[in-house]
Amino acid sequence: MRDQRGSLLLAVLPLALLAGGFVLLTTTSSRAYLAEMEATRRQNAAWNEANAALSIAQARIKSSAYAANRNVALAEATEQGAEVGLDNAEGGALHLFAVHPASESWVSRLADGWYQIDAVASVGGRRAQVRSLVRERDPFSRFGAFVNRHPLGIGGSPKGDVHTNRVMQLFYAGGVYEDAVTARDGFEWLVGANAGNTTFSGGVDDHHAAIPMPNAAEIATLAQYGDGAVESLLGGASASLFDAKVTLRGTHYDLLLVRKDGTGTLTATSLPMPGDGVLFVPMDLKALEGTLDARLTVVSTGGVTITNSLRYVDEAGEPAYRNGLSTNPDAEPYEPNPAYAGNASLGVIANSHILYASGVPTYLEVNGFFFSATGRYGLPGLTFTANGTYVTAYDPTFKKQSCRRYGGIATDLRIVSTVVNGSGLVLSGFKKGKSVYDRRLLSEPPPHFLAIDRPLFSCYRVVGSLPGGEQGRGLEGRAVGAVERAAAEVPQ
Amino acid sequence: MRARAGFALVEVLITLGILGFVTMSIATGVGAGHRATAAIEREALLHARGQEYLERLLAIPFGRPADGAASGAQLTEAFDDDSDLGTVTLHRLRLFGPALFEPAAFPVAGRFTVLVDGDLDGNGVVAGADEGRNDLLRISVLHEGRLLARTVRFDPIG
Repeated sequence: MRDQRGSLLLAVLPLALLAGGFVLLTTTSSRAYLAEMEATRRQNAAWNEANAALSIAQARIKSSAYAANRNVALAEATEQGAEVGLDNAEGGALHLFAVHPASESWVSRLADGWYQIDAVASVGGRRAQVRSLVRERDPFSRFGAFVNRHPLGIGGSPKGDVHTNRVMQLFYAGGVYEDAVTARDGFEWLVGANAGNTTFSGGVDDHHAAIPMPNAAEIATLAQYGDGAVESLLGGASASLFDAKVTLRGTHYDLLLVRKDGTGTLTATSLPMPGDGVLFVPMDLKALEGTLDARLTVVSTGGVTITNSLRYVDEAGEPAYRNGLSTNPDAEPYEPNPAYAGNASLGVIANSHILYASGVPTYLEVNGFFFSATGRYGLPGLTFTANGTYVTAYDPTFKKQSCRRYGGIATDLRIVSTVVNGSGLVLSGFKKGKSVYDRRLLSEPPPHFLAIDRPLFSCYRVVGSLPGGEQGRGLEGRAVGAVERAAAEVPQ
Repeated sequence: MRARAGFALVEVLITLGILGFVTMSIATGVGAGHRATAAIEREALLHARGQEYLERLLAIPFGRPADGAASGAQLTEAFDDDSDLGTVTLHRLRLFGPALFEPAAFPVAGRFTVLVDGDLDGNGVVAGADEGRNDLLRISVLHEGRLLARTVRFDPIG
């Protein structure tokens, strides 16, 4: 029995150790869980702070003045970068604002007119970096519709930004505006539309600052990009004696100059597209039509008349949009053509009106962005009241079936493609119409297209979301591109 | 025999003491673990919900400075359990002021506060650099007065 002394204790001891281990495991597991939760919280906080810093930098750039077509904040940020000693291989950089002691943002110049804003924040050892691109000047082709001196009437579900330097007239209940809707002189709700039944998803401002229209002098500066084809054909004759006609033929074009007194013409056929993409016509362009498989801006110092369809068609004959010339538009939707392999882009800039010719086909398709500095776009033969609200005269013989447009319009005066009476009867214009904004115009405007002195922010993305750095001191290691991570890795 | 019986009793007493101590330790440890886990889960739930509300505020449109204050129905729609944010805008929330609500069926008691204002640095005064602009608003989510998440939003349009 003496030999069995202590055996009970020996039997209990492992049990005690086992229990101790269990308690230790439980507390360790809780600590790990706590650490994980805290890391997620800090990561979210860092992400929120980085976004805040980016927002403030964007606001400063947006509200900055412009001098000689340059954004002063962007210019100063990149020019002073070297002086403040920030290490950035892509150019200068400047600390713009710190909304939190551990957040910072800076600007890098990427290319002419293009910049990048980075913002980084560090919270409790977790770091997040976000980025946005900035285009210094915003091309007019960003608008689905823009009107300077008249109201802009719109309804339905248009795409592309819409703006007027007068009153925006919003028609019909249930309007859905995917992009920005802005007006200098407020909104007018018409035919059932009101703030409650209209959705603005892309930003809205009914007292937006006026956006100045480029004038004739600015249009004239585009001559420097022209290829001189018109001057060459004139052979020293005065441009004021002629009108021009242009027919687009894919990657080439035909040019016809007609003497205003009817005494002769000058013709050049199958000319290659201009090297800088600008066809400068220092006169009225009395006829414009054809198909395009190139990037081209046609500039007229007078007005432009559209005499037939203008269509993007690729080398294989595929149009950019299907059913553009459908004779049954109710049944055949106007939709992207997946077989289209081209990258055509047409810009038409006129100092005066851009109008349809009376003899355009009854089924018409128009692709391109149209800019009229002092005139209007649409039907011939219209006059308006002084404020542009009402049509005072129209051409009752201009009655067509369908017009389908892919692109955008910016004009000084009202855009009108159809005049209807109170019963909805078409008095002049197209019975059926469809407009689709060409989103490529945002990133790839037509060559040397006119621009506005305001920045455009795009391509927001999360660059990095990593552990590292102490509170307020985690920023030294930032190197653009060195911490690239997929956005999916960021705890949301 | 007496001596052997005495030793056995001491052993039993010591063993019982050890067993009692071990049992109490386990009970205490497990109880503390449960409490800690519950507290962590509560914190995790709160922060996850706070971040979710913040992301809703990042998704709703800015609206117009001339918009009126949000209505109770608009607030309910924006912060209820479905993904439809309704018609509330940031400017409507700014005009409404601190919006307090207690979500239904949320396991942590207490009220959330959603605050949209121009006080970017949160010092209680809208007078600093960049503060007071209509296109730059701070958005904060609090629970029972404790900050859960905050950021600043920029309106490229307004």
